[in-house]
Amino acid sequence: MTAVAVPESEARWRDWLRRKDPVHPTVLLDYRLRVPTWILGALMFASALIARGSGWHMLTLTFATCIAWPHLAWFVASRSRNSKAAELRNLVLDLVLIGMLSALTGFSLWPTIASFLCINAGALSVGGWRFALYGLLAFTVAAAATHVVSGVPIASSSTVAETALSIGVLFIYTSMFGVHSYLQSRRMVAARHALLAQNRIAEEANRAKSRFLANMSHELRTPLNAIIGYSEMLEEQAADEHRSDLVADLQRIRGAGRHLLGLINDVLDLSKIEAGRTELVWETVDSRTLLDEVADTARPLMRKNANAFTVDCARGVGLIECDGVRLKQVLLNLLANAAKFTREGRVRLRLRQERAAGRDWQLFEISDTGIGMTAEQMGRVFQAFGQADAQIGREYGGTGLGLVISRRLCQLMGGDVTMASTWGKGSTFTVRIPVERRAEPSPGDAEPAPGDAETGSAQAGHA
Amino acid sequence: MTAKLLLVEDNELNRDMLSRRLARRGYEVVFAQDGQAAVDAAAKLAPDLILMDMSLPVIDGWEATRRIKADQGLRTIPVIALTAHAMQGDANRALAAGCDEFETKPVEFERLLAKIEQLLAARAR
Repeated sequence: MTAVAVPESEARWRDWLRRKDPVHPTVLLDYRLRVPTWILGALMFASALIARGSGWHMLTLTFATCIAWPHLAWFVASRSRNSKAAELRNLVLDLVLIGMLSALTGFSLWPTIASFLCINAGALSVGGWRFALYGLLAFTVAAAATHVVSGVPIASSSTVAETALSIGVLFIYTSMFGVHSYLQSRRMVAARHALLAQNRIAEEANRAKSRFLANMSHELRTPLNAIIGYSEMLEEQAADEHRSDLVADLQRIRGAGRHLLGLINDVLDLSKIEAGRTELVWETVDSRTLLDEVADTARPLMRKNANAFTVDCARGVGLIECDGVRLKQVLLNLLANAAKFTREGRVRLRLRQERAAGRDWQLFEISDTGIGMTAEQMGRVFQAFGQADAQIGREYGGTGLGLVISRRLCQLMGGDVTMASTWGKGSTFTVRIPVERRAEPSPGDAEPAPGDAETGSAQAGHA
Repeated sequence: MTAKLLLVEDNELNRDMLSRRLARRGYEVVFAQDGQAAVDAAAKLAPDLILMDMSLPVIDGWEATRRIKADQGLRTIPVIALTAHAMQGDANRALAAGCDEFETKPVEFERLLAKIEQLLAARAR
């Protein structure tokens, strides 16, 4: 049995030594900063040591340490977990060394102040108060320990050379941080400009997409017109010739054509809304008149499934600022849905006004006694192509975009559409539109209308 | 006397389909394929009514309508604009250009017939 297995701890060490990750820019900057400033630091401390009559071995040791340390720091930092951990280790070790050297020079005033302030600036800029606190602790402990062990007496006055060199170190070291943060801010400004330019490109691409969609839907509609038109023509001819078998099939072609046309129109509408290209035509509308017009259009739809249709309007409801055509489109869409999903039941359209969140709102409520929705289906109905389920789409028809478009249009008018539903019992959709238009309505600030205002506002004028 | 309709439409299928359906209802249908040809045909063929598609080659339907309505001899001919659905501005522009009526494509044939009859009757008075 020849075991050549390397002990686990040794393998780990080998991995650690060989590790070569991409070096963090901060670690690289620190290395470039440490190499020259520690040479300056060596000169500064050496002049202090010479002034205090230290021997050549002490000078050699100081220089060797000051030259070796930056490389050692690099080695440690480039193998650290992350740049913050690398910085913390190195800055603490910086201050341990400085604490020791300060004690060995008898706390010569200028070198001590200069070197401590430099590394403190580094610690603050890298890790804030936490790093600075760790640094101060490291400095104090190292200085106190060295002072006790070496027995060098405290002599804090400085010579001209020490002072000059210390000022040099302070100036150079802190200037480098200043220059670094200046360059950093320049890079940030450049990055912001690049981002803005990218935004412009993205906006332009979005507009191009909308133009493409508009053109494409025109191209799609032209042959579809021919399909629908010819099938209608053939239907008339077949009816004249009493070919009822053909009439039924031709009606299917026409029906499918109309459905496809509806889809294309809805997709175009929605894409225009999403691209912010829907221009509302604001006008002051008498909502009672609007309600009557909508009800008249909806009545034939109600007869199809033998539904009873009632319309009522609370007293005192009057004018509203909105896009009348769009609001009608929304209400008709909701009424058509109610008629579609209800058989031999009741559909009710109600209008009332209430005050909430400091504004007056008109509420158009469309309720039915139809098939209703489960909670899960309710979560999907306002999503594009989220018609409660595919089976319903096949059974009842529709594009699955009507509710999405309706809601977006209401949001453009500063309002919203909300819903409540019980499976098997029926659904209620509520359209809330502010009576007065806000100064600058935009899709961005179309905040959802308060949904909990249902209670406590019954005094708003029920009939 | 059968009424003569000028159908201005650049798409061959739509032209064929619409003209055959109109012919079945007893109208005489003449054609033009672009806006310039429409202005020329209006002068030469003296139709009783014009059905004008709006997106046409050479000059578009709006400009052709404007020219017809600017002509003393032709301005009394009623023009029905045929516009695409989603272009809501199209219908308003058509009316601004002088069209008497508009109908979105694909046309509701019975509704279109009603509009044609109404305009022809108004002109006969």
